[in-house]
Amino acid sequence: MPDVFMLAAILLLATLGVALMRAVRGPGRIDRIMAAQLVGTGGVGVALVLGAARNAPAMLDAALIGTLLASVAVSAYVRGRTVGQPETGGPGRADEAGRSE
Amino acid sequence: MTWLDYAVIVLLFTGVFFYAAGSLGLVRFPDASSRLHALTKADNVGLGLVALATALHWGSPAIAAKIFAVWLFAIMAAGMTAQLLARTAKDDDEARDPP
Amino acid sequence: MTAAFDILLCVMILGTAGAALFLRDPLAAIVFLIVLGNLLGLAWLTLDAVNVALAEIAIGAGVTGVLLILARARLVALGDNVVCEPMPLWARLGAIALCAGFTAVLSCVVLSITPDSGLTARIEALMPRIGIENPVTGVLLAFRAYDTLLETFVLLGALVAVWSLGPDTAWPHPPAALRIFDPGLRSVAGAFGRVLLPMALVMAAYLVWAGSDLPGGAFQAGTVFAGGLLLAAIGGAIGLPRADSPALRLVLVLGPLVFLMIGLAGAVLGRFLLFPDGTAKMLIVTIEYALAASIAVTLALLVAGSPATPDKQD
Repeated sequence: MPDVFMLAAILLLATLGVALMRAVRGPGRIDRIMAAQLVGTGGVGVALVLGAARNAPAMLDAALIGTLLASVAVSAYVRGRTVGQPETGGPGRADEAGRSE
Repeated sequence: MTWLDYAVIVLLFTGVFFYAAGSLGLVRFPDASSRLHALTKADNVGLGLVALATALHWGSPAIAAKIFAVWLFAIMAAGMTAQLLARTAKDDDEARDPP
Repeated sequence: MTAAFDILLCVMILGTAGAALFLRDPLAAIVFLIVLGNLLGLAWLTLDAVNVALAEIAIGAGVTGVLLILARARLVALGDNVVCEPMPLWARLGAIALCAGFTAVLSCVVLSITPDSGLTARIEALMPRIGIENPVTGVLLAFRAYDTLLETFVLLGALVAVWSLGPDTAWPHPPAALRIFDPGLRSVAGAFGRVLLPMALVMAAYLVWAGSDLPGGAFQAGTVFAGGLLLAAIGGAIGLPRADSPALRLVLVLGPLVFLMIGLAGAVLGRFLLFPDGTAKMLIVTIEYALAASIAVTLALLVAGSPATPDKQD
């Protein structure tokens, strides 16, 4: 059984590698953030499978932490966007509450 | 190899299949909104199946509860990120081609 | 099977690191840095170093990603184009030579370590005296507690340094609000933040308690709760405090202060940071809970940034 789980882990890791192509290519910024989110979810899956392969329940804690924190990066990105600033830089419709010295 | 082991294997590799479908969708779909479907739905179904497989393998109720918590939070987080990313993609599209 | 997994993971880690270095778009580089954090967390899991994996996933894939994304967004809002200028050729060759040399030295050192040299035997002989099972916690909070005490003060100093970067007129107002502007998006994030924050608190409390015998600890717990605080702040469920709020200042110094007090009490009994026999586990758990609270608030405020004048608030 551990070998079966390790094989599944290898396949999961390979799918993560495929998804990273979108992070490299993704024409828009949102595509890259989506790739980051997918790697987060995939990492949780790999942690679950590794925990089963190694018979180590502590790895489930790692999976739980990965789940809790996976969404913070996406919300930070959405917070940081100025409205109407899709692909290129430049001023948007609403100004950021940034700081200027 | 009991029937439970067979069930675990089937669930595990079905989950891996869904993960692969999610990655493939992310890479091959034409625009951000369609890629979002692959990201939030396919990947989380895959996670659910993998979680079910590992919970069955462990066989302990306490560990199964923890795995259930992992899956539950993954689903809720995916719901939130799907909403945020979908509206962001729509704003991007509208800014690029104003209605 | 395990070897194939390890090799694939190593290749992906190297590829991700290379992509983070060589991609020109800053957001792509940040995304690859987050991915690198996730992959390194998986690498620590394969090495059975679950304590470090917890920390790596929480910080490298969690808080650091938020910090970098927000920093980039602030620069873009100020009008900075955030584009990396290409380095001159001599600088590139020099950097490559330096990194290659460092890698060679590090590889020689690591490969020359024999598996049975090291402190494992000595620590396992000493662990029964303090009554906890997790050797990492034993080293961090009993055998090398002095280092951990100094690290907590360093973290506090980092927050003070970040606070000092704000303009004079902005002191002691809260940092610029982290709330999402668009009300529809804010309600979505806020709803999830309100659910996540108590769960993050429970998870953090569990990690500190479990850290005595299983993988866990104050630092991992504090980082998880900091992530929950940040998400709640981004969703508008909680606001950011003023820098002179007494409750805030109490929470910030609680961890280092409790640690210091216990250390001084030990000095009265014989030696600084002495744990009398039989009380070690209780003292360690007390210190860890106080530390987790301080670390969580400190990290969240580090990401939130320096104080901002009231007209720049949302």
